[in-house]
Amino acid sequence: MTAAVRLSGVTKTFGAHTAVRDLQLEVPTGSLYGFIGPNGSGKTTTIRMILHILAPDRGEIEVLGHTGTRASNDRVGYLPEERGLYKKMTVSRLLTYFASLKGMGRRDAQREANTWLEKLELTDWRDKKIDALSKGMSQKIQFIATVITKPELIILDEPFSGLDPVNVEVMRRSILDLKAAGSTVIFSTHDMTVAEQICDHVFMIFKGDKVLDGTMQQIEDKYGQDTVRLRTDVGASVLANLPMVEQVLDLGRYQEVRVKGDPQELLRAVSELTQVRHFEETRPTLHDIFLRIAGPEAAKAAAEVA
Amino acid sequence: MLNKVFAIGRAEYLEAVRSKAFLIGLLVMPVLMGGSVVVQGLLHDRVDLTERKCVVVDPTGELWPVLERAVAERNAAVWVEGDDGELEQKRPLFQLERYEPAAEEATDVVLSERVRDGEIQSFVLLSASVLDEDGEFGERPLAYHTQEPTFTELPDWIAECVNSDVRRRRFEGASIDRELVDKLNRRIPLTTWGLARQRDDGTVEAADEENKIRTFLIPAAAMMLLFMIIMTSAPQLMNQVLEEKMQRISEVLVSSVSPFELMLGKLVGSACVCMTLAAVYLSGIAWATHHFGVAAFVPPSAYVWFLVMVVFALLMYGSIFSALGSACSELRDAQSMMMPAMIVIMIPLFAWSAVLESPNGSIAQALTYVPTATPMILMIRVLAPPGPPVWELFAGFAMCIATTLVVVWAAGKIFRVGVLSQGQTPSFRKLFTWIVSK
Repeated sequence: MTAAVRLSGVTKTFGAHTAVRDLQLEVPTGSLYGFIGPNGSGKTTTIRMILHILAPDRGEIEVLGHTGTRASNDRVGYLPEERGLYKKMTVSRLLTYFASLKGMGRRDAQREANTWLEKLELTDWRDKKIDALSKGMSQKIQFIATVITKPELIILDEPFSGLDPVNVEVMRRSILDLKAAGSTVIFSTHDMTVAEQICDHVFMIFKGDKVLDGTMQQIEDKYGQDTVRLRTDVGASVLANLPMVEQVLDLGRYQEVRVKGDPQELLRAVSELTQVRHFEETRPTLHDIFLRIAGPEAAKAAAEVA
Repeated sequence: MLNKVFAIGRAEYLEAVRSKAFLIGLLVMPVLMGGSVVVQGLLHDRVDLTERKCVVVDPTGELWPVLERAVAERNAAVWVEGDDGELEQKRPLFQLERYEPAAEEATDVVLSERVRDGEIQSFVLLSASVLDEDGEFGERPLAYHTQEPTFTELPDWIAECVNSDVRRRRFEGASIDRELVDKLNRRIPLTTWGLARQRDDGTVEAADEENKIRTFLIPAAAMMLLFMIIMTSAPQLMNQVLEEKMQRISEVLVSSVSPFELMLGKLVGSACVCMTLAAVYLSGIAWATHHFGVAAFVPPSAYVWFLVMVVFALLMYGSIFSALGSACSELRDAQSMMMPAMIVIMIPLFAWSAVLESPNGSIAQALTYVPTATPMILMIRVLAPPGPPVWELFAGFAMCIATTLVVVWAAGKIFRVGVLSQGQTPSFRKLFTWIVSK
């Protein structure tokens, strides 16, 4: 499989702060690649370098076959984390304008815009100004603006933030359709649960360093099935002082427990102390893996994000 | 690259000319300019006709009758027959009153009180020495006291009356015939003309009489129009860029086009807006000059110069404003950065009268080569007779090109960094480091 994006030895510093350190990364064509990590870990800087908005201090970046130039930018769609649209423009004018910046002709742009507006149920808003739209609608418009030119590489930075569950579902469907149609998708998020559900590859970055990279399968194989999802009558307190408990992630009604040894031993121990309502052997979540790799420092950073 | 620049320019242009602000601006500018001319004209005709009362203290006793006679004549002459046959008062009436100071009184204090009370507006203290034939007047031979020193018509008139009578007396004292003196004193009027030339066929093209409209009004108005057209568009760029930054549109834009293309596109859009404005106004001017028979004062080349200077000025000032907009994150910061930029841009406005007085003089020449002042100064010089020498036209043009290239390049460097920066507004020193950075 060829790589849509290839970074080799990429470093970027801002003054004394190293945002990305000696990064090696290969995003295969057609993959749905999750870029995960807490805020401020270097995701956006990496994305901006892929888009040649920022130049790396060291290293090489190849995007869709072009190295070190903006030549491929017209074939890349980008939805930045911080969204903005011209409030006074109408939806259709805005979409054709953004498409024209990628070199798409007006007629093609209008046709594509109509298709997408229909797909996302926004046809009635075609000639309305952006400031008349709700937040969710303008976010969908921004998504259309990103994908209207049928880009080969689509970079989505926190695409679900601020959306209600219905719209998240609509967007998720659209992203999967785009992938099915052959686009490579880079999906950047700090929400590891979302990444886990949708991505086939994951790249995890923390404080500028790559801490995890591979397919979901590889990651599962590596980190195994040592996690138990547990619900009891008394909550997390029952797990205190049990010798086989290595780490507890208290989710409120549920606790996720990393177990040393046989999970059945944990079940027996907890049953003696309280009523067990739910017990499930599962693989560790990305979040859990992240905590394992990055240590207590990361736990703190992740907690700040949550 | 050019396609995208034009796509941005096109969108910016359409967005601008479709806005209500554009239409209002289009109408407001001529209304303001025309309005100020009309108001000036009206005010010129409408003088304050309040009667002025003035007390005269004449210890000689000989000048008072002269003044009394003169004021009667003058007051009769202020009534002029208007177009409709009615008599119309054109100037204020003067009312003079003779005053005999009492013994031991401080006359100036007494009369000053009357002025303060509003009973009179002024008083004149004549010294007996004014009739002294030896010409030793003392310190204040003719003193005019008032609270309104800006009203000069009355004191000027009194000075003229007193002086002409005293001169007459001196001639008489020297036994010289007054009429002969007047005859010998006749002034010769001076008129100002342009230059004549001999045509190729040997005939002579006579010189034109100097005309204030041509030598003064047209060059000054052209520069003002240029300034106002640029000012309706260039500062807008700062707001647009800032708004795109504040609304987080910039990042999407620079993922599709380079920051430099983005800035160029905006400049192209703004230049087109300015050209549209210029086309509308120049058409109006072309019509008006034909209508009033002064079309010869604005040669066709002046229109071309104007359009070219609009483009240069817009590119220079527009890129400065774009760069400032990109460097800031808040409107307030942008406004404080705008001040120094405005002062640089307004240099020609402070200097235009000096340039007009001597269009090919050293001040005009020097200002032509002050980078950002070139377009406006050159515009004045092209229109003010006789026009600059040909080499200066080329030099000025080259200066415009050079300045534009440098300013657009430097602004592009600032824009590149600024458009993605957030937070604290950089100092001018910091902006400079952005310019020289790789």
